[in-house]
Amino acid sequence: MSLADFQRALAALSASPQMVRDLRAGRRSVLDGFDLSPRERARLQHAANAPGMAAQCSLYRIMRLAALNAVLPRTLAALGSAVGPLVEAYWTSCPLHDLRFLPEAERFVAFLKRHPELLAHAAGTAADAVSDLLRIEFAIARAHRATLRGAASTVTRYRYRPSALLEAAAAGLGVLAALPRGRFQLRIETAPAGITLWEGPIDTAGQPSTMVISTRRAWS
Amino acid sequence: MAQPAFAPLFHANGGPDFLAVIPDMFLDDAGPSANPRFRDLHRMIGLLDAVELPQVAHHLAASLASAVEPDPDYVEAMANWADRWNCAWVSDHLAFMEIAAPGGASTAGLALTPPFDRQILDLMVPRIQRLLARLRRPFLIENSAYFVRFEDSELDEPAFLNELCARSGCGLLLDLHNLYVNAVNFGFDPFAFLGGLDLSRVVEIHIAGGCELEGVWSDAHAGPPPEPVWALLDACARRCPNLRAVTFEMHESWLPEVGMDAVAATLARARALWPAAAAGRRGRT
Repeated sequence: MSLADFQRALAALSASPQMVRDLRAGRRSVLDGFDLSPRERARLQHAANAPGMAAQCSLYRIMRLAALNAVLPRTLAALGSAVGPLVEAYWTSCPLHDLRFLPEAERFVAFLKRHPELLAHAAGTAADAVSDLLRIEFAIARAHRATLRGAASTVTRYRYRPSALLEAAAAGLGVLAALPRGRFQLRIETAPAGITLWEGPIDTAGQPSTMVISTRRAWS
Repeated sequence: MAQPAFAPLFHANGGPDFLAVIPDMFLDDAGPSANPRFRDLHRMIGLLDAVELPQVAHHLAASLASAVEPDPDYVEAMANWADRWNCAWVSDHLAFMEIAAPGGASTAGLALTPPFDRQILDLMVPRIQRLLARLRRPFLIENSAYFVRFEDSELDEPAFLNELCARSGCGLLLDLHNLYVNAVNFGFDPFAFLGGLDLSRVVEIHIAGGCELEGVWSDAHAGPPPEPVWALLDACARRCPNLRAVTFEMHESWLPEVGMDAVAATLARARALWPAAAAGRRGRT
């Protein structure tokens, strides 16, 4: 397992500037969880001390953020610089990456669901709106993936009007926090040709009736 | 490189003679349990359907230097893609991404370059041999850019690449900007590096531009190559007897800053080098 653990440890170093700082400070116990030969330990110490290690840690962040941004662009835009502590906490929890963007985003969404306090801290009074926006964006991405499986329809409920959230996301947390709250439902119709979103207040009898967005298929 | 923002250039006078396609950008991986696992990204595939240029496939995720075996589904996807588009050759990097982890393999988040050890050679050689047998066409390994290198490696990088190519039967994709990145960041002479390399293995050359990242030079594919990369190209293209292509790599996100004219000018400059390089190669054979 030595080579496998060496590669896992080098990946962990790229994921964690804190681990790099620990090694630079001589706290070699951060490698205790890996099955390493003395040469491999020395190589990881050398890697931590390398001038390029900061760039390697930054590149890791660029790559992982790009994956989340491909699926959740509006959520990340709404959070702005507040996304930093959220993704750092996520990457600490899940240092290894899933090259597939949708499962990677799904892990991030699940992580935030398990840690609502992190989103509350990052988004402040807009936390509920961002939480809804996150769920909507992920539901849309998942519906795009499902287009191959044929026709389907799902209805989910939100505290904010979905179209208002999608439109206001780029304006940032202040604008999201000021959106009127309510009780809304979103129906996503999935078909081989693409997806269609309909929204409406929950209290209205029947199905949501206002079309939000209609997109052609992304996968064929 | 085949990216949507460059599509206008594909049909223009002075446009590229071929496309280097990254299939990973054109396929959606629905996961090991899905059937089919790899599906076309419809809008991206349309880009290739609309052009009639020869193609080569440049992959990102074979992870041939990993401690874990390459994903057989991914290898199959590489072969299928090459067959479908009749790629003249297929390439990937001297790197590992797949990480053996509790619960199964996952990825490192970025491509990492291993130490140039015999243990890695012994892992990679049979993998490339199996890949060549499955692809039924040439496979090239690309020298990577790295921010960390292991000075106690058992071989130097040119010797490692030479032995890897000789033992496995693969060719070399010589990325001159990656070489420049490493030479700048680690203070070695890139011309000496070329002097140690078996240039008869080089089938394709990459040129690119970069930018500074955290105090070092990075392989960002940020625009036209810097002058030292042109100098490397000028020096080595005529010494590579089996060279068949020079590829300009640029990420489309830089296009608004760089401009299409600069992209076209880079293609023109690379193309202008070709006759002299070809004559030089003929003179050496």
